[in-house]
Amino acid sequence: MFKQIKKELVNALTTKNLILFAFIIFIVPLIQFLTVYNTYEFFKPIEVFEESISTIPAMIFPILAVLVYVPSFISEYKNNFLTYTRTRVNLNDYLVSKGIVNAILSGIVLFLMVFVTYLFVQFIEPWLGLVNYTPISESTGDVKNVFSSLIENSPFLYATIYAIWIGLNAALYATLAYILVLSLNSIFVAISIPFMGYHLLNFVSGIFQFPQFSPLSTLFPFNITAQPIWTVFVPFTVILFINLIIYKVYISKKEEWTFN
Amino acid sequence: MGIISLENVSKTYMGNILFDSVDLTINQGEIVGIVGPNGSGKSVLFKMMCGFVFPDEGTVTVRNNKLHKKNRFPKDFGILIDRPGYIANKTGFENLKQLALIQDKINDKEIEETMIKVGLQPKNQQKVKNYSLGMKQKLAIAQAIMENQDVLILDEAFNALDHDSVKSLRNMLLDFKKEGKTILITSHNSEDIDALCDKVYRINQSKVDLVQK
Repeated sequence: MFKQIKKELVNALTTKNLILFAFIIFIVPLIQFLTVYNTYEFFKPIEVFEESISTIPAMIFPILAVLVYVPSFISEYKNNFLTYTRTRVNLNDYLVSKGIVNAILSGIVLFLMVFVTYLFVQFIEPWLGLVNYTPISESTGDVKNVFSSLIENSPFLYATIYAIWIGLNAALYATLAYILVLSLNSIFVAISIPFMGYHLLNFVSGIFQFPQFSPLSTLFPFNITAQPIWTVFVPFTVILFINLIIYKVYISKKEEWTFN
Repeated sequence: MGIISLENVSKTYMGNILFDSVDLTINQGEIVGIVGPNGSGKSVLFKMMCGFVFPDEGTVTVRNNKLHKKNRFPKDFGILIDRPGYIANKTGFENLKQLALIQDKINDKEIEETMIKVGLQPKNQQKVKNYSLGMKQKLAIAQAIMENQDVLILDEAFNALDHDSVKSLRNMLLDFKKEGKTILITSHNSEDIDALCDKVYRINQSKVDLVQK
């Protein structure tokens, strides 16, 4: 199995995929940065960092997570290619390896999207001097979020832990799409559900006055007042359970696979 | 006992009784033809031999190993079942390479030689989505034989092939037979069956009958 995972990881590092990964890691936050760097008043680099991964990356987060590897898998799934892997490797091992690689790559790419943005804002941007920081005065208030206690200890630690959190969630959403592709007849529906579910949960939690439990606020908690840390695990746990239930109901009991 | 044996196999598939207490033995080094009307279960029979689906009753044995849920993976099988499978946005060579990398038994040169053997150009940069049906069929045959597989299960392998390619594939299969490979084929063209097969079985009313020896 480990050997198969290693092979799949190497296979996934094609030029086309590397360009896609680079787009997600560098270009998506850069577009967001360019829309905010001279339109807001900033006091600290960490605020620029938070704004640079809000709005566009936040709104399309599930799409980015799913885009990393699931389309490569779909290209194998769609035209009966998987049938011809079955005489070469145990299908379960193959599908589990693909699932693990999907989670690993999505996690790493989205982790890097956040972490590289932090490195850029903290270390490269001051050298370029694009952002005009307003000096902090006594009247300047600090806006806190759920991870703010970490900033006081170390902004680097904050960025690292926050990037890991985003990476974990990316792996979770990508896994949801992957197991839905294996479970549903319509590939389009399967890859749409993570995105639709993400925004539906945001909408529902807003309607019921629980914005602190919305996926958006737990992943990008910059526009909501600081909440207890446990709140961020609520949507995470819900999606984790959804993944486990789909796996248990549709996949683990499947004795015969047919690919169309 | 042959290389593949079915003992007392019954199978219902999508609500149709395809096989009812079927016994069948395939011996090493034979070319065996399976014929029968559309929907009679030729592909399902092949899938059972590959461990893709399981009989409701009875056993399928490959090289003295019973196929079951924890042993569903007969080694050295080259197959073409239902239709060709491919990654549309890759070239023919890239498709074969991706399959070959799974077991890592053959190198690029061997892949290229197989492509030439079936009538494909290894350096052709055309994506498989732009291949003709015949080229896709040749690609499927290439993946079935490229790792020098011992048992070939070819479901309608002659479909969409032009006259010369059919002739070339027939000769190739006869050469494989000389090497001791076991080959199972289906074809709607009785000429292919007559020209190649040592034995022919017909699937008829849920039974598999020997019709020619």
